[in-house]
Amino acid sequence: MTAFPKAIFMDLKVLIVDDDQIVVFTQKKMMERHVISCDPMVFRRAEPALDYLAENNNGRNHFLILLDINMPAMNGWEFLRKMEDLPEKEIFHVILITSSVEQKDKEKARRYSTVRDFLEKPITTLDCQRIKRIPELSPFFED
Amino acid sequence: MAANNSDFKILLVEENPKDFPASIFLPGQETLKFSVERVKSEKEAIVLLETGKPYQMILVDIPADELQDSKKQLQELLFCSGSVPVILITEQSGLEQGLKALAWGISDYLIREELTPEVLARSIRCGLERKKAQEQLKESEKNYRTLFQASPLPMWVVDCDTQKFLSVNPAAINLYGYSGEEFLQMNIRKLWEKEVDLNEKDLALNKKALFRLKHRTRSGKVLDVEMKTTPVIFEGKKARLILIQNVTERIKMEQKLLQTQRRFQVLIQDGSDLVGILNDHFTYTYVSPSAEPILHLSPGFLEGKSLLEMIHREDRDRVSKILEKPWGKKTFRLPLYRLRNGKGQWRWLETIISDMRKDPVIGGLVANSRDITGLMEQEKRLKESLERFQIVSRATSDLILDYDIEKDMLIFNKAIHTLFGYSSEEIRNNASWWFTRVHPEDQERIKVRTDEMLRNKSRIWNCEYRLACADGSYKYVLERSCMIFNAEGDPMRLISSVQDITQRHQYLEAMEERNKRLREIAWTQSHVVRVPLARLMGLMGLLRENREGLENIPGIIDEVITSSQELDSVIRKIIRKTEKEFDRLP
Repeated sequence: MTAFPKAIFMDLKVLIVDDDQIVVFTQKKMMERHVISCDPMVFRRAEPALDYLAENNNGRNHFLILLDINMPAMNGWEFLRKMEDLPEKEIFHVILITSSVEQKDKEKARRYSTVRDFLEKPITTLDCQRIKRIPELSPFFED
Repeated sequence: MAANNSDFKILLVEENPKDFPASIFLPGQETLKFSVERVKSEKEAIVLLETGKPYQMILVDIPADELQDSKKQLQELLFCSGSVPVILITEQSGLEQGLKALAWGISDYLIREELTPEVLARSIRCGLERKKAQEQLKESEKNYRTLFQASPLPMWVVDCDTQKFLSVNPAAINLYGYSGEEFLQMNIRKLWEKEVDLNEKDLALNKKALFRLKHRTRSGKVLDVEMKTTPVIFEGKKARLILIQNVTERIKMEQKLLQTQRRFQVLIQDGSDLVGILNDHFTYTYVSPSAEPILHLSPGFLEGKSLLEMIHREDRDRVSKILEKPWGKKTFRLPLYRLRNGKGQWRWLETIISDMRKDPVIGGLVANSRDITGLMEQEKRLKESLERFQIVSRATSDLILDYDIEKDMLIFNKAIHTLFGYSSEEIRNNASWWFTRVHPEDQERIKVRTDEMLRNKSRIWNCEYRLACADGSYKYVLERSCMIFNAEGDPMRLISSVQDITQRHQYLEAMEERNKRLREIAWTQSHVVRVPLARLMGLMGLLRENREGLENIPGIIDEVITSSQELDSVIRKIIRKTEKEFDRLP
């Protein structure tokens, strides 16, 4: 097993929010494989994920959220909108992940301050490396 | 005048009767027999004459020395003697006075010393003859005066030097409106309408002359007159007798005649009609000069030729049938026929025949012919073009519109019934009716477009709109129009073909609708497809990169199979949906 990166000040917690079981499985594996998180938290619905974030927003952690757009009940967009209302939202780093990327969705995503990137399923090794290089996230992955 | 012996009475005036022996009146061989009445003075003689006693001769014996003193009495006697000749008898010494007395009016004078019965008898005879001649002269003068006065032609006498009227006849007074007194105060120039240059030389030479000039009457009316002038001596003055003939009417008539003649000349010579006279055998006896410009044939060539023989073989029977049957009417039209012109071309002629055989001037059939070849050709072309139009109009399933802009007359072909269902009663043949058939939503667009086309003088244009059928439904139509302009560039006629494109339009609409749906299918399905595909790709990626680190590989392979089946079912669904979409095609 590869050693986990040192958190400089705080920990980075990873949340996978997707209703698709196989997607969750592959994403979890990729997170581990590329040493982004050894134990990502999985939410099959958006509401519980939002509740968790609201409760654990205690200033000790940053959160990387791999968010699916198409979900039953609350979809990805609604989730983003609600998250905007949370305090200190700069600690939330959302990667939107959809099965097919449309330009209009990319543009829509820009309106949300928490969105860091927009990826197409499945996430690949390259995607993982790309996540690590995102400026807001890169400090968590420095050796 | 042969006098009877008993009728011949002589009045002898003598102071001294012994001077005249009775024997003097008995001439030897003379056959005349006289009866002589003697008086002693002129006064007595006048008394006798005034009682009306008839004398054939008056002899007055006046001694030479008394002649001068007796002048007055003698003149009185002469005045009273009227037509009776007066012979003066005096002495040799009174010769000079005697000659003077001739001027007073005596017929003769005799010298007493030479007086013999023979001389007297001869003198009496001469006197009688002379008197007779004088009488005749007087009579003739009187006649002439009567002629002058009673002449229906205006006449006057004008003084050669002053140009003043000396005498005017009633006809002149009547014609010019001036009274006799006014005339006699006037100069002839007052009659002139304008100053004229009479041939003064002719007048000066006293020649007889004829002038035509314009005179103005007292009321200002202008007359054309012919003036004949003859030099005369009038009351001892050099004068001209002028005879006036009012030719105003004649000149008017002449001018009219001239005009008529000229008109006829123009009509016959330069007219577009060929005028000819045919005899009973339909041979030209006269042909107008217009034959040259119309047929390039000289009248001389045509004259003497038979009309029927010159007519085109194919037309001859038709013409001869009409010519040879009784005509019934005085004027009739021949069937159209062809005649070869001077250039060898066949020309179509239309001829009207007028039977003027009874007219002595014409004495034949007047044939008035017109070259209508151009007209025939034009008509033929028009007919062909119309036929073509009719054929096209019949053959096409399109609606054909023929719109006469000026008359606002719109004509349709049968498609207005077959295609749009209108009955003849429903149709109004004008543009406004047509326009109300256009769908209200399209009317404004059509109006703007039509105005634009008219402004730009476009010849051809197309436009699509909806047109109402008789049942109230609308058809999509494509109208293709061609505008015909006149020489001035004004639009005259619009020919349009209106094609029913409803089906095509519906097809296009359906196609568009389907394409839209297909796009939607493609979009949504690609998203649906991508879900299992993304799963598969994710799993495969894991398997490749992470084989050693993975537990439960058979579970992953099961996931792969499940995802593949899901993908397969998605693709099948897409195929079915697309098929269904294609089945919906009209």
